[in-house]
Amino acid sequence: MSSTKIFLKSSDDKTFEIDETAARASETLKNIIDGGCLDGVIPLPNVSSNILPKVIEYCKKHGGDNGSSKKIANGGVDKDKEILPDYDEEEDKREKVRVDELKKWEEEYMDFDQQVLYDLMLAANYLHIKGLLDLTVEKAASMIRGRTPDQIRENFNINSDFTPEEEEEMILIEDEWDDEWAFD
Amino acid sequence: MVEWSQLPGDVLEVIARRLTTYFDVLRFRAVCSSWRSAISQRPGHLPCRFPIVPNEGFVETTCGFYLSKRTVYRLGLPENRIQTCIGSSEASDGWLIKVEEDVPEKMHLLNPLTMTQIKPLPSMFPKVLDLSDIRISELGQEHVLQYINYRPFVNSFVDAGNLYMEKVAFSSSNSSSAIDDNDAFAILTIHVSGKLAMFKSGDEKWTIIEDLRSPYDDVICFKGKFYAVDNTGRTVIVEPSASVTLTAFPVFGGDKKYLVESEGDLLLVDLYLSMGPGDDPCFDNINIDDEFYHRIDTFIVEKTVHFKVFKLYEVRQKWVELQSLGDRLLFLGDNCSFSTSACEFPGCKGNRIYFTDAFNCSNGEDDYGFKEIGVFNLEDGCIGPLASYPGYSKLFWPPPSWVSAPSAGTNGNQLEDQPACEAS
Repeated sequence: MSSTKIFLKSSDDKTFEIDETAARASETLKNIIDGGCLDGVIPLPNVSSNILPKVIEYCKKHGGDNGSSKKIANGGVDKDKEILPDYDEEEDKREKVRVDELKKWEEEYMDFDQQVLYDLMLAANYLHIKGLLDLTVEKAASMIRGRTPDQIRENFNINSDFTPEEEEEMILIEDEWDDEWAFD
Repeated sequence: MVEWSQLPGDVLEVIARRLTTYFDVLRFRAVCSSWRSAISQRPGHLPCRFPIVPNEGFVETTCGFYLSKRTVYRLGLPENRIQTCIGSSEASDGWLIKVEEDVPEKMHLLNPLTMTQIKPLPSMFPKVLDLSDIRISELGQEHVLQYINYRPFVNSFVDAGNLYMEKVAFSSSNSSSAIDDNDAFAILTIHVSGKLAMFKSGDEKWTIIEDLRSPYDDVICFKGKFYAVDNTGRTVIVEPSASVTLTAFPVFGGDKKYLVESEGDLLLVDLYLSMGPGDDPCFDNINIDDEFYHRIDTFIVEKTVHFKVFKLYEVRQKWVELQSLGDRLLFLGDNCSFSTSACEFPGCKGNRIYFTDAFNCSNGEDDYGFKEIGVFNLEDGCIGPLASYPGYSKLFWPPPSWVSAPSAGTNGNQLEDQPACEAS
């Protein structure tokens, strides 16, 4: 596939190359390209050279498909054995292989520490890459679901900064620290 | 070191929007002040906020209904507590429970698959359950239409408080738990005639949908859309305009169809009834627990003997049969169906369906309807009451020791780690 090359400059002044089709996975970059104000290199003052290659890797994989990773994630859970009618078995197999392959890629791609998760989430938000934002935000949400506030703070290394008044309010009025069920 | 408390408000908001359960939202707000400000409103408690549902155009025997919500939770000890609870083999057990919140903030405990309230609570059970150190995940929700003037009926009919005990699918314009009085909502249920009945916020009366071919069996809100399945397996999407669109052709076969969501897929579970073991050649190869029938041999009752599971292929308008559910457990309740992974409940294997049946009509004391629950193994076709499968019954009742007797099974010096339960 031949495509125009775009150059992106990270916050620490390093330049990276990306195909235009891939760059279009980012709403922000797409607007710059379509706006015609493309002047050689696009500066990205909010994205460092540590994280930009990771962003570009995602765009390369998803450029052109509007970044609907949700669809892939939903179709991907397919470990069931199924009885399929003969006539569209082949088509289904191809689809299954494609979905499994993407799923595997996503799994490997998302295998990183919290620092990267944090930076990647902010980059996806800044560059408006919906699929990448969905993936990273979901990973963060999965570290929150079902956990107690203490466990969440421990997971994300957060110190509680509530004022005594706020704590008082939560305990007395909202009962949020001490959530409990009273049975009748 | 990254500062997660310094995440920009808009990103925090996107994360918070992924938390759909009441407890997750509550706990998110209790982490730190910046996280707290990302969700400005404390999540609402649904049951006391629902408007009265008028009955005009629906049935004429009552002055209206109200909608109550119940939530099915899986409770468990957090990993760090499991490690400190050495000596308690039950420490890692997950517990499945359904909870209904009443005004003002009183909780009713219910059998997760039926409408039986666990009342009176057994003496070993804490009156107050402290959740601050318990892992809690939401597995399903059910909405029930109840008569507003149901009191006079209490003595004349069993369960007259529930509208024909048909399932209610509920959809709200606001998918997060921070629901508001002004949020638009819609309810889909099955009318006594077998037709679909819909009510939307702002409506003055119910809309009965006249597309009947075969009576409807089940309704569900799946990915924000209403789906309904009839007795033949024919499945439709019900639009907010009350028009229906075919989404899957019939599968026929069994006697009652259930819709269940599992890992983002819509499944159809087809339940087969029989008058007794061996009277149908189709089921000759099925291993049926004798005791299972022995219990009810004095009654002429149809019994659940088999299940088939299908997955929806919407593009092809087809239900495709699944040979295996992998590690999934399906739960077919009277008012809601839900699914979970077997690894949430140590000791359970996947590929099982939990259902309710008239195993025990005597309804003895203290069983809270748990004897009505049965287990079906999709792998070998075995079926039987919960009581025959101790490993599988323990996720229902009695509650694990860390709930009912939190100090038991642990070393005395770790008492401080235990939930504060006030026995009274």
